[in-house]
Amino acid sequence: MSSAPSATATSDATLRAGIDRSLRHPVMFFLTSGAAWLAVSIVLAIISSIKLHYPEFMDDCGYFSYGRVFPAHLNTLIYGWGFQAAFGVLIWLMARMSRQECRAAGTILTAGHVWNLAVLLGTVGILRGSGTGMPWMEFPTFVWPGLLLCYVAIVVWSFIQFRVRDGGRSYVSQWYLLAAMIWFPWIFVTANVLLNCTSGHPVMAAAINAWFKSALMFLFFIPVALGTAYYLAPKLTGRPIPSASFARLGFWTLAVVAPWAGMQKLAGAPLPVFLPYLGAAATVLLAVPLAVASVNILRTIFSGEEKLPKSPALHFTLAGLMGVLLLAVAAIALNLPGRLQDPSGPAALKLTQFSISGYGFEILALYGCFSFIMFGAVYFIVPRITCREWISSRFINMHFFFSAYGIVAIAFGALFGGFMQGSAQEAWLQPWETVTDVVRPYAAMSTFAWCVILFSNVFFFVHLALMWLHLGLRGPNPTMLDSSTNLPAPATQPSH
Amino acid sequence: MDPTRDNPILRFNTFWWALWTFLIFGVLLAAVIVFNPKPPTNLEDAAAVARYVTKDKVTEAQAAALSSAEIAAAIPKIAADLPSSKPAAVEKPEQVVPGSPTALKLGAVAAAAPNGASASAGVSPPAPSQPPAEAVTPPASKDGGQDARPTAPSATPAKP
Amino acid sequence: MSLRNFILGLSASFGLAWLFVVVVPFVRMRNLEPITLSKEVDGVTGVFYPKRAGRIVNGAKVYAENGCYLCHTQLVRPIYAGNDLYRPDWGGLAKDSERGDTRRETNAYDFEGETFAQIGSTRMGPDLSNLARRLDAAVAAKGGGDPAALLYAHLYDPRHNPELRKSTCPAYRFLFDRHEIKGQPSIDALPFGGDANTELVPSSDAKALVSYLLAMRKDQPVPAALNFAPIDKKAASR
Repeated sequence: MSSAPSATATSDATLRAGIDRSLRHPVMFFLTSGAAWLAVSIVLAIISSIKLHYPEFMDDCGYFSYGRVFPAHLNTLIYGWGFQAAFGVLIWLMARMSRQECRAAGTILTAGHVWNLAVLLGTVGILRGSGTGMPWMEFPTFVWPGLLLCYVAIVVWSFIQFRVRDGGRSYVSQWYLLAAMIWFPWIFVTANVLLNCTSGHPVMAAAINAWFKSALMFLFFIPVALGTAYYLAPKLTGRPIPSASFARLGFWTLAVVAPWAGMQKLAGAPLPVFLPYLGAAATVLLAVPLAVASVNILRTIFSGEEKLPKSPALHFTLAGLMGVLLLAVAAIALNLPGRLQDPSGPAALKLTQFSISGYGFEILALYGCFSFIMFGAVYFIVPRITCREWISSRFINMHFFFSAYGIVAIAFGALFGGFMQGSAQEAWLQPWETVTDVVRPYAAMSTFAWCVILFSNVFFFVHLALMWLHLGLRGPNPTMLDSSTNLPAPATQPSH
Repeated sequence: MDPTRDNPILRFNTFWWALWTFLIFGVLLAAVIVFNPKPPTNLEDAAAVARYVTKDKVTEAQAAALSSAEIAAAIPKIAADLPSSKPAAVEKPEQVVPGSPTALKLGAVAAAAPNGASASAGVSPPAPSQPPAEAVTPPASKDGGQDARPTAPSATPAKP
Repeated sequence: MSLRNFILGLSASFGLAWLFVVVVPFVRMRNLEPITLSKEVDGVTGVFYPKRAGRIVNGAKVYAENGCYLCHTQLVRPIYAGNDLYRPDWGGLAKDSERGDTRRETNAYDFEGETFAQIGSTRMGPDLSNLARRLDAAVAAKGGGDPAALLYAHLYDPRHNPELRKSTCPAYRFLFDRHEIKGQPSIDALPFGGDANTELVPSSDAKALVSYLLAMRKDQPVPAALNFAPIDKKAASR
């Protein structure tokens, strides 16, 4: 890009500025309201985590009983933060890569507000005791059609932009983002219609719900994260993706394997026995597309001898990709129905099926992989659409390090603690108190970790709010994470 | 930049194609559900089949044992016989209504025979206001132990 | 690859899984045939129908709304999938006074009347499939009492029971009402928490929930088609 003649470069810059200007309000809205819901979700996570080891906490208030506050935490994390961060990043990336300005900013903004209203009504519904009792679909049943309508009103424009774009070739990011856009309505409509609108066998309903959970993670959040990382890494490092064929392989193996996963949660249930074990096998195989994609992007970042620019977006993207690798390992470790290292020991799936390692896996996917890469995208996008730079590299560092500590604590604590809990559950000669005793320290660790994550995100919220209020730094140089923030960017580095 | 590629018609078409793409599996699902309606059998109804079989057997057996046709045929005959039969006086003392003229007559006969019995058995007519205990005649079916009258056994030799 | 081929590829890869893992099993299972019992093999005729008495629908709704499925499961797994059947009182009772060992794994007819089987997310608390059987046995061991009263007391304050002082079950105090004693105390009143003038009684939600929980007896004898017990146990149960 930097070798283009200056006239084209100027018109290119004008085009990009036009795209950024057209998307400024919708994207900032999604990122700031998403961040607000992230705050709500983390507070609810802390409350529910405390109740796991100290159940008398806030037990006078029915609204915050564990059975309501925990689903409220998960649903606000997914629908409040997760989707809105995905929307903000997705519409910006698709617009930039299709080189089309956004002409439907008003519609998108309206739909975004309605989305927030629906999530608010749903969350209040759960806390009031009108939840449906179906994991990850606990919003009262009137909410889901509204969410679907808003979703379509938000992303259909990106689909159109892709279609009318210049040039025949498409980049791997666009495949991931387009696929995520298309997969979500497929899984959302299937699960909601089968569970809320038709009657079937109750155990099969539980199985479809488990399929939905896994599909939402691996067919929406992970593809959005990987698509974003495939965009950010070459942009921030100036190095190309080493292998286009690996990129293609990673994408299509995800597309082929992920829809089969999810029902391993119902191993041993009165279902056709191939369903849960197929789900376990598919989840284990998911390690392949996860590892292929993350290694491909990591090779981009680490290829070449020059030092990496200390870009905040790059740090977060790197951490998110490490999260993806860890997720790949966890997908194998948690779901092997056969024997692990110890042939006389119990199979992993038996131990983890009803333990906290399921929660650890989900939070690793939603926060450790998806949210970290979204944070990277936020640190990349916001300066471009607000034409200001981040104010304090110290804030960004605090956000990064404490979030990383927190998510590592939760992920390792819950994944390992889940195995401990599962072993205690399987020790049938012992009374049930041993299981409660085993979980307690991991629950306490999880509370501490969520507090650390909340602390880290306070810096993020304040920083983002300041940028939203247009109080960022003016100047040509991007905010970097090293101490010499005022050094001019070297000429050979591509413009951001 | 290829001007023919980006035009309002293409955008319009793409909008509807996008909607169709998003909803394709929803439409397929609706088709599957419409063509596979749930059978109305639930376990309660399936278990009820055996009950209805039993019920039918019972009804049949009852009908066989006690045919309504036979009853219907018998009713006119008996109805015809009944008015033509005269009420015959009852002779067995245990079928006599206490306090009736027949009972009084029987009591008088019994009182006259042993000659020592009090007239309590036959004194009081069947008046609504009950005289004291000695006038209360025990019904024929009661055993003698409950008899309030002092001269119980000899007064009614036919008492069971 | 063109957009059209991309979407076709996506549809094919997704559609195959959608069909074989979601739609076909869903349709086949909603048409699940009841098992007809035969005199020679099962000893009785009719249809296998593990009836549950109680407010299943209302109680399941309260169970779902209050998130009981987050910490309790309702699935007794077969041996190849877990050790649930070895526990003496999860799949049934190991030493029932009338039938001996009644333990069995969960079968597809055990959730009759519910729309969503609350299989459960984690096991912070024990499995609930045979909760009523456990309570009956506990009440019998104590020489009498009301299993519903035990459940009401547990829901109001799980740590009141000294045996469960480490329980992390939330206290569902909002499912109970405090009202004045008018005349005689209510038969459902909790044995604690009241005073001279007031008593704690369960609300209708609590009653529905307890009615649902007291229907948790999933150890009925099963037909031969569903009986996976070891051979000598099958012979003993004939």
